[in-house]
Amino acid sequence: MWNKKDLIGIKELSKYEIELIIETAVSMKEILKRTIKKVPTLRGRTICTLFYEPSTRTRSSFELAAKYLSADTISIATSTSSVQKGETLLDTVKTIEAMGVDLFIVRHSASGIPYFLAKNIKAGVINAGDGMHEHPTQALLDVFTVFEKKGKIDGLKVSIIGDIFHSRVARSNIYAWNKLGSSVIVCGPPTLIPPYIEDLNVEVTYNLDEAIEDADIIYVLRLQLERQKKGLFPTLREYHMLFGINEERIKKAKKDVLVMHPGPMNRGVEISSEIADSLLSVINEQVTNGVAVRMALLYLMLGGKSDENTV
Amino acid sequence: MRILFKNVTLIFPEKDLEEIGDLYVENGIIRDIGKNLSLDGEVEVIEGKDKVLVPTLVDMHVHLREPGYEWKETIETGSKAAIAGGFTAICCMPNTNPPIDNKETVRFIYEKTNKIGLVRIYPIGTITKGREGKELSEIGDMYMAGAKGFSDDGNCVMNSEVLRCALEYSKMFDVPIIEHPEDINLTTEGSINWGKISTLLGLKGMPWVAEASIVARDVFLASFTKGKLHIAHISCWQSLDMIKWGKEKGVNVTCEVTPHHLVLTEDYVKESLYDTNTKMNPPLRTKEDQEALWEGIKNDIIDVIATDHAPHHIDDKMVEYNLAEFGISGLETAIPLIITYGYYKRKIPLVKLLKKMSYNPAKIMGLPYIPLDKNVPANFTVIDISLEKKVEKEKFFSKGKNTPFDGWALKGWPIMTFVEGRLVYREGKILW
Repeated sequence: MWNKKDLIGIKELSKYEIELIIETAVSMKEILKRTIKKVPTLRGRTICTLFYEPSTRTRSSFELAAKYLSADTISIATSTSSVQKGETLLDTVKTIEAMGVDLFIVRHSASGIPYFLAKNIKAGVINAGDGMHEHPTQALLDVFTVFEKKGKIDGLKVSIIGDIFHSRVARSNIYAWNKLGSSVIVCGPPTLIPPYIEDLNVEVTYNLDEAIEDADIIYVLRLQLERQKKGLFPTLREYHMLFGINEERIKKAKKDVLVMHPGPMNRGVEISSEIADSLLSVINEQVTNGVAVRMALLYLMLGGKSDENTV
Repeated sequence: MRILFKNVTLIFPEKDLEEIGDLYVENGIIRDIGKNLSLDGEVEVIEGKDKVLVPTLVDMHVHLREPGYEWKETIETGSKAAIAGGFTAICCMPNTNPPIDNKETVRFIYEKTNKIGLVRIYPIGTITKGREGKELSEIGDMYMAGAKGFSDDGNCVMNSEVLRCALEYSKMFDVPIIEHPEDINLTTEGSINWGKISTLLGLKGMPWVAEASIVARDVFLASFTKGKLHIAHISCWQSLDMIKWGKEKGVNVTCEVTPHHLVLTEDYVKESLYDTNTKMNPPLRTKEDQEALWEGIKNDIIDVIATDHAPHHIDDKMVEYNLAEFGISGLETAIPLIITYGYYKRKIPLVKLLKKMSYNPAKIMGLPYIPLDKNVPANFTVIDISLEKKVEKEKFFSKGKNTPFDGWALKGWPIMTFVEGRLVYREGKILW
């Protein structure tokens, strides 16, 4: 059963716990297909989404997941809170907690913030992405999507392409796939590959063809355009030439390869529109599954304790 | 006041000597030193070879925050922390507000120190005006007002020509130029060591090459100018190799290491789950670096152990890791850390360790050094090397409670501090 107050990283999850979330997500997805998408499971529980970084999909996904389970939600965005008046992060969170919040869903640009909050408040904390550290629910929804498409999540070859250095999505995916018994290869320019990444049990290549050759999954990361300004690579044009996934490059891949992307995409940079909108792409399913996985997680963390709460 | 220390361990750092013996203090003066001293009348006797007497403990790298940041530390609270930590003299870094880049601020430190009268405080002036790295400060004027060395600590002097001039110019006063070695272009936004842990935790890294490349440049500049160079807080083996090379070539270069770089590694950032008290500059490095630093202590490539005492208010540390201030409060844990990890764990002789906290820094900075000797003022510290207790940050005299060592059980604590004839600290209490 589930016994964690917080979900901060995939690093801290066991294989069993990941599988439990995926299993639970299967029945949650069934609710999403109903006309009346609402169950009373989390009635009376309060969830706060606290986003210190812009986000469309993760935030809406969490909020809808909570609403479909009948939890009350509030959301704090930095532009409208006392953060603007100079309040510290911890003061903001403690203030909201004092109003009776059971669970915080936090996104922040500083790595480690979820640990900092978990140490200092009683309510639960779900990490919705912290700096360059982890984005666990993204990895969970990715795994769930692959499970639906391939019927298995072990023994696969996952290639992650792009800016590994600054990516929390990459880190969470690396942990998840390794724990599940699939193998990971990362690919990008050396300036965007973090030091000692091999120690996380991944293979490294700078050659895209090599990375996609035997892959079951091509996972394309978003390239943050500001990286170019810092001189980490010369031009977007050259980046696309070397690492962009397009119809030409994908010819080297297996016929049943899945193309994934955590969004939002830079079409024509890391991925071409032809590929993003092709049958190989599961990018839209990822978004739907995000809601199911987050429902599963909220259910396990807040509602899964007594029998009467079953869906 | 008459105190007889009987069969205690006497440390003579200037002679690389330690021996069991007796020492008698009367009214603040060491009246006798030898074997089997016996005295009549009322005299307090402190006995046992686990009582270690070491003269003139100097911490040559301290941030006192006054003037300008008095909520973090003041000259008074820093003075108390220093004597509680066993130091009889400290040198304070000039990154205050205003910085110590002029004669008036140098005098301000002396006047405040004299009023408080607990520990000797010797100011270090800035190398450049406003610590901006552009134009030389009035090094001569500050020297004549009592500044003992010059440093832009906290900032590296990035412009090589400016540092060349500083090394040349300061030769006429024979004072050290103390460099904070960090190529800031390589450390932008960094919080911890660049490597395995920064990748794991997703924190921006500060690579060793940012430090070692500047150390290399500085050693060459010292060689070129024949100036007097001291490198602050080295943290990686590559820097040590460069300094070793310089020393072998006869360059006038010395260096220091902090207790925290000797005791902690980057792994502790992960174990502590991003505790901001693990955030230092230079960052905690790898196990390999740590081993090299201890080796540098043993083979004397490292001249000095200094705390880089960097007190901060809790508000500066209870924040996002990347926003937290760098540094830890170090004065009150230095001796027990060095005794526990150097003497007990690494079996390094006491005299070797303590010389790097007394005679060596006093000589580098040109400070008065008062040894254990007959008819000199008592200016020594008694360390009880069998005393084991836990670090309690709430009991620090320093305003800075920012320590990663809170709750650690350490062995070997200062129990008495004599400064120039006065017993100013004894077992948890400030006496003067």
